Amino acid sequence: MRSLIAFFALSSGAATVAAQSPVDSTLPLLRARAASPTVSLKMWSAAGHLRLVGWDKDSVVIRGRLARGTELVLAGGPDAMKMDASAGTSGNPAPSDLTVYLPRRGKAAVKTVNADISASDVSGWFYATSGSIHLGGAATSVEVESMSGDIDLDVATPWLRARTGDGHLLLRGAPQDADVATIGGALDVAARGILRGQFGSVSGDIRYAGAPAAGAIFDFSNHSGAVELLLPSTESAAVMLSTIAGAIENGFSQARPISSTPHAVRLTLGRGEAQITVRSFKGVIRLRPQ
Amino acid sequence: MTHPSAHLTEDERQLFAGRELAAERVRDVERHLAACPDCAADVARLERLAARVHDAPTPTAPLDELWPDIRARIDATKLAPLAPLAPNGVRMTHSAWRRPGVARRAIVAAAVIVAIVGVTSITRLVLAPRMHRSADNGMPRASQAQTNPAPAGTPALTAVADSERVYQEEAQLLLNRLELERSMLRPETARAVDRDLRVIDQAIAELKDAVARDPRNAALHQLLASSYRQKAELLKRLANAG
Repeated sequence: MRSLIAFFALSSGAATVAAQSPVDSTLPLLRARAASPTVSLKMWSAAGHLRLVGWDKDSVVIRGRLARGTELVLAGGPDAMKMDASAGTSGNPAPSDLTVYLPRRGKAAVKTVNADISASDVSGWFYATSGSIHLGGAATSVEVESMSGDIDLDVATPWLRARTGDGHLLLRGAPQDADVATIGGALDVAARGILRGQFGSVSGDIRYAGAPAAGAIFDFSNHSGAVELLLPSTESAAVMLSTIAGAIENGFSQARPISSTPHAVRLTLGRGEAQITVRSFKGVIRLRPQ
Repeated sequence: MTHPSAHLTEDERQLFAGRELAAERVRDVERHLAACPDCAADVARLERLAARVHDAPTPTAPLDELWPDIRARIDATKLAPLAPLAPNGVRMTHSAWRRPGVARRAIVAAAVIVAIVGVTSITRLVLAPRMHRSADNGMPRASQAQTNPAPAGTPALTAVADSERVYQEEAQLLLNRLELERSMLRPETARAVDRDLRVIDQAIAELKDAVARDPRNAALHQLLASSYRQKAELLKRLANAG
């Protein structure tokens, strides 16, 4: 329970950070181009910090500070552009600090090595080998991948997919269809309004705190990490918990299980309007009322 | 085409190749094509494609007769089995339902199924609480939950076993490629990948061992398929890290 309290504290703290997304118009202007409202923008920046801001203007503007010896290339036309913030470097490039403004309806494809990415109101694909990724605002779709970096998503979007290795993955905001997974990293979910949720890990702990909506379908899968679900005591859901060699701790004592063995529990909370399935090989499964 | 030096737009190329461009634009486009080999090559390619589509013979066989071949092709790569064929080898289509007798037989069959399900449900409702209540605490006893074995060859088990096999093959292909790409990885990335692969491989080994002891457990197969999927996704992510 202590870990869940810490998780909530972390979530609310992170939300404050997201609200203070830095936009500094005093940074030197590096490039500006006219762009179509649905421009595709491919970006590459190896190290440092890359901020993306979706705006309502028909242009792409890049501000910031480039690392010494680095050249910024912005090529392409109004419909599709390509930005390379590490041109002219070899080996380990020094960090650049860039802010890219692009049309809100545009689509970004961002790739970095250890540069941190933060974006607000931007849709598209975001990849960092080891840098952290933080997305906020609204987007049409979001796909986030990292080998080992932390991922913090606070986005309202119809579709979201995120993967990391042993980084921490935090999902908040309001995604409708969410498919998120880690390998060894902790996965914390405190998003609202998810209708289809697929949450997986191999050895990281999965923690969910929220109220699945009526008709929502959630699927949790873990091999050896714990799965903790913190649901409102008034939740309406059909819950199926199964583990091969782990334990199940059911804190909803007022709901009598439909079936119960040491390794499988089925119970209906309220009218059973949402569907929650948890599968684990040897991790503990904890179900608790809020 | 807003500027003489700009390429033709996609619309202009498509419309010109399809002979649908407005007459007053044709002269301009022809002039541009004469001077721009890129656009000319693309328009030529579109014209060839349009000609092939136009010249392709219209299928003479009814769609119902084409279906078995299409089905066989889908079956060759499927993850889950398709619904069974009707006795004549044709999928039940709207036209099949309209044939004399088919609808009537279906209604009779449906009525029989409803009756059986109804009787079974009533029997369960009446008898199950008595049969399953344990003597010591009055709680329902363990029922066939997800961890219990599914009958061999059931569609559910076949589907998860198929998924498991597909992900396993994909992961192996990607692993072979990883050996080639490893030299392009940064040392810290290579270490992180090796660590993650070890975690997944250990999970897979434990699951395979459990499946060997309980091969009809659908939950185990699902967990194994999930681990293979994680491995394939990790290796795909890795392709971007080089």
